[in-house]
Amino acid sequence: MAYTECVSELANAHRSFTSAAEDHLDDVYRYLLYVTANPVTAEDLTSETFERAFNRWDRFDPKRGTAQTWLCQLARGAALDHFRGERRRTRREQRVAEPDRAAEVELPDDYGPVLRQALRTLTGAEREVIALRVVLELETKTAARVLGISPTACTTRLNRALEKLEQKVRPRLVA
Amino acid sequence: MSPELTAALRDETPSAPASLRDRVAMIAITPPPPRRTFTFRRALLWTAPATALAALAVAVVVGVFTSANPSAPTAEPRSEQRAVQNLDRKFAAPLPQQQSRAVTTAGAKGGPAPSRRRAQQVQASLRLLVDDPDDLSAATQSALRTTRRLGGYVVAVDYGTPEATEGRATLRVRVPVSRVQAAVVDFSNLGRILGQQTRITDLQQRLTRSLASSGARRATRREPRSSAASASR
Repeated sequence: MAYTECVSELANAHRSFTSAAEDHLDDVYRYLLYVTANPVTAEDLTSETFERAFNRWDRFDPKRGTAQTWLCQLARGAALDHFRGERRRTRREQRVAEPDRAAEVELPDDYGPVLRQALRTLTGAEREVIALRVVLELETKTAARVLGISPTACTTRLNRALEKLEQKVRPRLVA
Repeated sequence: MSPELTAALRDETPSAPASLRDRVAMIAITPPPPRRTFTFRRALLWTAPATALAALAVAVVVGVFTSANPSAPTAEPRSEQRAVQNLDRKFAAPLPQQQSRAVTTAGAKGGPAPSRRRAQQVQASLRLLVDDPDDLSAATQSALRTTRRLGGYVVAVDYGTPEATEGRATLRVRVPVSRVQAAVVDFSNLGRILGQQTRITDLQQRLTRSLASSGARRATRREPRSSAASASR
């Protein structure tokens, strides 16, 4: 490959990454916000996700899925790595101190008090499926692929999560 | 799914803050890391970063195994037996090799067995590969423990990790000849075997000659005393 072709290919790759980052930054952040339930952690993981995406951009194949799906998969990997590390750290610290439960779920004030309280009662997996299917509006098949589960399992999980959420939200909204 | 709830979830979920946008924009500006290509050499240096070539040289000296059955009579004189037993106990330095036969048995465990009836010198060396520097440290310590457990001792240890992902440990140990096979089996469990060599040298003839000449010297020393005693009578 000639030098100019190589430079032009790199420039194209750079441009496509930048545009993907602009288009899907909010999606990745929102997804990670639901997964982590902590805005600071979500910001850090979003940054890490895009760093990973930038380093692996040559591996992204548009034929296999959209950039949004690929970025969500990377974000999920970053989140799982984070949780694994946190679990190890917590286990280490629990030997000498009480766990800090207040720091676990810290949804931002942008949510109304009712929804925020209701979201706190959901598990991480339930919040995750809501983020993918409702907030990012991904199709069942795509969301299932990101989660690594079957479409049926994805639908079941979503229905359960929404049912649980509605049970918490409805009485308060009615009141 | 109620539309109010869906709308609330979509509307109330915040967007990425401006500070995060700046952070992500910075990522795109930084130059990408050099592309890595997979080679066997890289696999050795990175995937298995600790190129732990642990050359475990199990050098053993002389052992005496007159008979598996202690009640059976032996052809060797008692003084000879005692001398060889002392040598075995002290793990004396290896004698010059004579009539040696080297056997290379990569991947084999234990190697050829030493004879239980003759005085022999057995040398075994292993080259092992472990996955990372942590494993290298653990393997080295385990080898030292095994040596002590088998009644041997460490002649020399050379342990070093010049890079965080790479290291090498060389151990020279001595164990009783009766434990060589156990040592080789234990050491070979510490990592992936890259090479193994066992060398057995028969020392029986040399030992018999040496003991015979020392017996003759003792007899010569005794002779003048006895002739002097008979002359005085």
